[in-house]
Amino acid sequence: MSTLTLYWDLTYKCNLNCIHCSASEYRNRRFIQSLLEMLGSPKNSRELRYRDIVEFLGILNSDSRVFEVFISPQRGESTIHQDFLKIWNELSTIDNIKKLSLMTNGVILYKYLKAMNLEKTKNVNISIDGGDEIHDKIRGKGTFRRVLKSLVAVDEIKRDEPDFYLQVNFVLNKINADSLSKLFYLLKDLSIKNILVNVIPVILIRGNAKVNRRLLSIPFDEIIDNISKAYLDFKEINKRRKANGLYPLKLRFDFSPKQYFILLNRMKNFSASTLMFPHKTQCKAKSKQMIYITPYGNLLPCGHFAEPEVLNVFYKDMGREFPPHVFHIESIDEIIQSKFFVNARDWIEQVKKLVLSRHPCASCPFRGSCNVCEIYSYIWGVPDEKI
Amino acid sequence: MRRFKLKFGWVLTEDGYLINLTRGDEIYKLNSVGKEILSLISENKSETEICKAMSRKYNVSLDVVMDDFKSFITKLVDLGAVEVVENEK
Repeated sequence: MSTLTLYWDLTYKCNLNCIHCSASEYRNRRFIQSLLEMLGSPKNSRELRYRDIVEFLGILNSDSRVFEVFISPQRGESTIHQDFLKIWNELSTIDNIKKLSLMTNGVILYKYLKAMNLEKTKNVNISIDGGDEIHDKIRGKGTFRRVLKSLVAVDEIKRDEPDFYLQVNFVLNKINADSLSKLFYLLKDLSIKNILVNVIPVILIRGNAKVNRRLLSIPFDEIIDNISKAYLDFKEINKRRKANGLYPLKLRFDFSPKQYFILLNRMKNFSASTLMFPHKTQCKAKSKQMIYITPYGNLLPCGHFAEPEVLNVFYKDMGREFPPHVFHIESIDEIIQSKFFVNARDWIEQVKKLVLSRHPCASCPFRGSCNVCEIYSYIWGVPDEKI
Repeated sequence: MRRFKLKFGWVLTEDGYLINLTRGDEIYKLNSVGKEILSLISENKSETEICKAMSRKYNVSLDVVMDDFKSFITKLVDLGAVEVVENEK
């Protein structure tokens, strides 16, 4: 039976305003109105409440597929949605939803954990940007203390579940590049078996991140220097964890294979057993394995289709067909077979061919393992081109 | 005597994994001796230097070490992981 992942932003609102946020535009009313016009649903400009999605949940329940649901995968903080708890717990009771994941800034998560049905929760992603001082500088005063509360609470609840993953996202930028070690130390006593530190270089193409790019921008060489220093602490902490009977922390860099190659060539002390390597994954949008749901109910092949830059080019290349909406569909197949989704799959295929046939991908020795999204490369360029 | 190097895109990790980053799905776990040999290759040691060092360290005759080395290096060359960069005249 095929698995379909629903990436669902319950809200684009957020209780923080981080200086490296690349989704801050989605808090702007005018931006949203313009986006909804592009998506063909300007009148549905209110974020969906629980009552609005009851029918859609029924559709999921009656479908023959297996679903995984990822809440807040891209923009916004879903834990602040008025009906977050109700929606989460309802999703947990749907038989063919086998796995629930949550991405959160962790600021209020600890308040909900006891009331959340966490039986199917296999993955929580929490964002931490270093030690207390740096984290608060980037995310706002007092946020570190609260995130820590959530982190400890998740650890207490999930420590005995071997298939549970705690992922800690660290958005690496000029301000916090030397604070990676502090994050490792923070995690040193957590008991969850699978703890992954995911280092994501800041993306400076939009939002607050674009506005603050001078403050945040960091050359790749400097990234490597800081990782080199922090990695010694990472190894030391894993030694201590082992001595205390805990599983090692794992580390992943949101790098392209080319960036990994430069990193590993410069640093000779990496252990593959604790480092997650990049691998080429099939585009889920192209292979009908995902649906992205906006807070307003638009159903899209992936989160990129909620970006005006992408929609503009997509419509120009393929013609304007509006995407389906939760209010107007009767089955999952209707979404997957909609003209918008069919066009999107064709477009992704065309984009892929185009990107791979032109500079710099055409001659890149890493193209066979490259995990960079083709849509991203087509619209914004190849992120590691200048390295 | 020959010298070798890892081909472009291949990396050796501290815990003895040989990874082809141009493919991503090509990962080999070396034993400790294999890892040691590849570390010496990375230091640009020649075949003779490597074999002598291994012979001394493990107290095995040089002939035996050289035979094993040739067999090991042939496998790596066949895999496309290693290339010969210098042949002594």
